[in-house]
Amino acid sequence: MGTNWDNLRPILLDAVGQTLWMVAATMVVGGFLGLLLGIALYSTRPGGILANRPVHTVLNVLVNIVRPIPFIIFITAIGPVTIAVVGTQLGTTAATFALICAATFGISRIVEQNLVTIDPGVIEAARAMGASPWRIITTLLVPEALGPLILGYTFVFVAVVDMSAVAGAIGGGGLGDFAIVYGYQRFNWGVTAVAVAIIIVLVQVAQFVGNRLARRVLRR
Amino acid sequence: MSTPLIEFRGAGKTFGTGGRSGGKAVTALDGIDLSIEAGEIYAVIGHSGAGKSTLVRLINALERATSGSVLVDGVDITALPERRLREIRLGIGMVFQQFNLMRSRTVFGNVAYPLKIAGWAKADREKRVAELLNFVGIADKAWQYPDQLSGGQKQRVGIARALATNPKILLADESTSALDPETTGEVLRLLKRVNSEFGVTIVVITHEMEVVREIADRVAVLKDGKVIEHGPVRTVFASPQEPTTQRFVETVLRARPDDDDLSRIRERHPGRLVIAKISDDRRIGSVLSEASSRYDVRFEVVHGGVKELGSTSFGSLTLELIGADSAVDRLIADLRTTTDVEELV
Ligand SMILES: Nc1ncnc2c1ncn2[C@@H]1O[C@H](COP(=O)(O)OP(=O)(O)O)[C@@H](O)[C@H]1O
Ligand SMILES: [Mg+2]
Repeated sequence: MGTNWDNLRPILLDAVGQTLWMVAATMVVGGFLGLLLGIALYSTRPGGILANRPVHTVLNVLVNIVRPIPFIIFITAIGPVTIAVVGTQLGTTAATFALICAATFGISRIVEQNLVTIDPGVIEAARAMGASPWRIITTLLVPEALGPLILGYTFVFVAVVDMSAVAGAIGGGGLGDFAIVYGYQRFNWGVTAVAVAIIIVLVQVAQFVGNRLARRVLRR
Repeated sequence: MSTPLIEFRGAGKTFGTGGRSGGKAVTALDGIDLSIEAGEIYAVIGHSGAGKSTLVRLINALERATSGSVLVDGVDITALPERRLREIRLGIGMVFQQFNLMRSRTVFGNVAYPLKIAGWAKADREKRVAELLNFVGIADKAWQYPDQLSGGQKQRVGIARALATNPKILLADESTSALDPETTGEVLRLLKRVNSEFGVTIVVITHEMEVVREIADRVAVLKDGKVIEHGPVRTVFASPQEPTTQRFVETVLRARPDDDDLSRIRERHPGRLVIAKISDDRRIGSVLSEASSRYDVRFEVVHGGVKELGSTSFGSLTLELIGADSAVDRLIADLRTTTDVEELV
């Protein structure tokens, strides 16, 4: 069976655009919210700079509830919230909203885990100099953990590409949807292979850039 | 006497449940009364777990006393709100055993950090950092990162950082414990200069009596959260009262032979053994030589140590005395007119 690439090419380009958009928006918005949530998790833990057991417990439980839900279920289960925020539970924007929510919780754990590796002595030194918790967060925590954080976000990027393939389930389009509809369902392995190849390139580029950046920050 | 710069009034610290104590309350400090005067170097010595770090952290309120009070420059900091404490901390520098430098910043960035917190303008910061790096002797390392420096260099950065905002007080928690003896000497001399050139009051926490000997004016000995002995370093070295203090003094002077030393000495020296205290004003040599010829008693120096402490020297010698018993008794009596003598039996 011959593949009509002239017809497929614009659809493929659309799919690539949708994936890039979903992943980029998720990395920016979810990345930022996840950073905030991760810092909150880290700072409120017992002995932390903003130690607060009730707040920590609530955040911790929340993250633990959301994170293990498989994304294919999460993207549909969050429907009512999506409608409230985006106005519809179908389409690329709705899928992006679900991605951002899931990524925020996933990223918060990775951020927390990287912050825990910071030497508490350095934080104590900053406190001894009269630094406020807010200043410690902005001028110490993030710069000191920047290298591992970049690697963590690179890891997340790959996971978000993975999750974005599910967007088709709610009509979000993207490369995953393209591979299923035009490849798998039409028994066209060539189309599937092209989608896979593009995703591989995307992931490789992200990993390369992430590694380079992290190495620069870590000076090794 | 003027009012002390730092004063502990029955200060105690009990760590509650949770955290490191794992459910059980731990009393780290109990009823501490200490006065530290402006301009002095005050040492606090004790074994690991004695409560030294907790004590020094009460001064800048990194830990809060759970009983009694702590006064800094006349202000009771025990119940101050966190915001006021941050202002007070700007006037107290701190140096750490593991240096605690930021890996992500250069030497320059590390030293400039407290100035940023204190709200200094950029031009002033740059001038001040250059001044500080010159003072601690690492101006050429300004653009290196901490992991490119040796331990001694890192501690110099730590000291420069602690001095950045011109604090009146410098707290040094085991600041030389991670360093080799030679580097330890360099860092201690640097701390001494900080004290003499800028008049900074220094509280030195250590578990090494040698550190106390080299730089402190006064010393407090901490054991199980209590001050068991305190006073001028010379007095404590000359006549330590508590067994713990005596053992600390021993580590520097090696004055008294321990049991192993003693059995080795006895193998070779069958005569009577006495320990005589040495200090500048005690004329042991002349008394010994005179008495030995007068009573026909030979003597041999078999053990001992003498150290400088400030401008004086002191220590003790273990002597073997060989002669008739009554003659040896008379020599010991003569020695006792000038110094403390203890016979080893
Ligand atoms: N944050 C803490 N929580 C619980 N116990 C602590 C804490 N800090 C210190 N301690 C306990 O207090 C005692 C004194 O500790 P510390 O002041 O660090 O002693 P030192 O510095 O003399 O080794 C120890 O028993 C230690 O375990
Ligand atoms: Mg300690």
